[in-house]
Amino acid sequence: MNTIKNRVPLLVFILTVFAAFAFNMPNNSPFQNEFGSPDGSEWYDVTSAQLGQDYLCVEDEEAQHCTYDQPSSTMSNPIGDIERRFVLLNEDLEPIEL
Amino acid sequence: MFRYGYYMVLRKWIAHIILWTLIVMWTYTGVGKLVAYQNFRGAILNQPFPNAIGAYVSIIVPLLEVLLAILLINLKTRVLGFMGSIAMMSAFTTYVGLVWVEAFERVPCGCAGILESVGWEVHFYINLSLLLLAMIGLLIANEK
Repeated sequence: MNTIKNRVPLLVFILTVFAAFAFNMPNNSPFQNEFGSPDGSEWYDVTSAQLGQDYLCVEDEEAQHCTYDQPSSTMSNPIGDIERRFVLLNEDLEPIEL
Repeated sequence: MFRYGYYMVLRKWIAHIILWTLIVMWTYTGVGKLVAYQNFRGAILNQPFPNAIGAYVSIIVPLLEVLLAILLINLKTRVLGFMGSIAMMSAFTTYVGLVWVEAFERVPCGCAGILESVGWEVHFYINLSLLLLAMIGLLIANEK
């Protein structure tokens, strides 16, 4: 009985590892494009860009999202939570032509 | 005598629950970060500290979390696991607190994972609660 009781933490660990694999998916989908705009007029394709290096997502009070799956904030699906603002860091990124 | 026995049983169960809670927490967050590593790395680079530091943080933190879970599993290293949990959670709580009070030039988005959408204030109180649990766990483990 004591041996079983001593193994409970290990069992908890193993079950949690399985849960972590089950509920966390790597974001490597090649089909979702990602676009952001600092001002709503110029849009940048950040699908292959690096968050934290090429652009930032910072918290904001306005009801907007950092990035979208199309270069439009009205006719596209938002990516991530609301009240976030897109900030361009890499000036070498070219704005896309709409 | 009866009350003492009741107290000992209660204390034992509190110790178990704290131990399992910390093992689940460190295992889930550590393994989850490694599974979705690119997401986590991006979230860390999005934080208001230099990217050179962020690159190391993004790999060291999840490995330390898994290590803490393993230390807590083993009875011989459990006290070390609690001490490491207190150190790690103190660092996390301090950082989240600083972000919450806007000590940095900007307030970044969350660090990905299960707490990403709760906001920095709630994140702070959750971290503080886990820190207190780890301290209680260490006290009980040391008494044994």
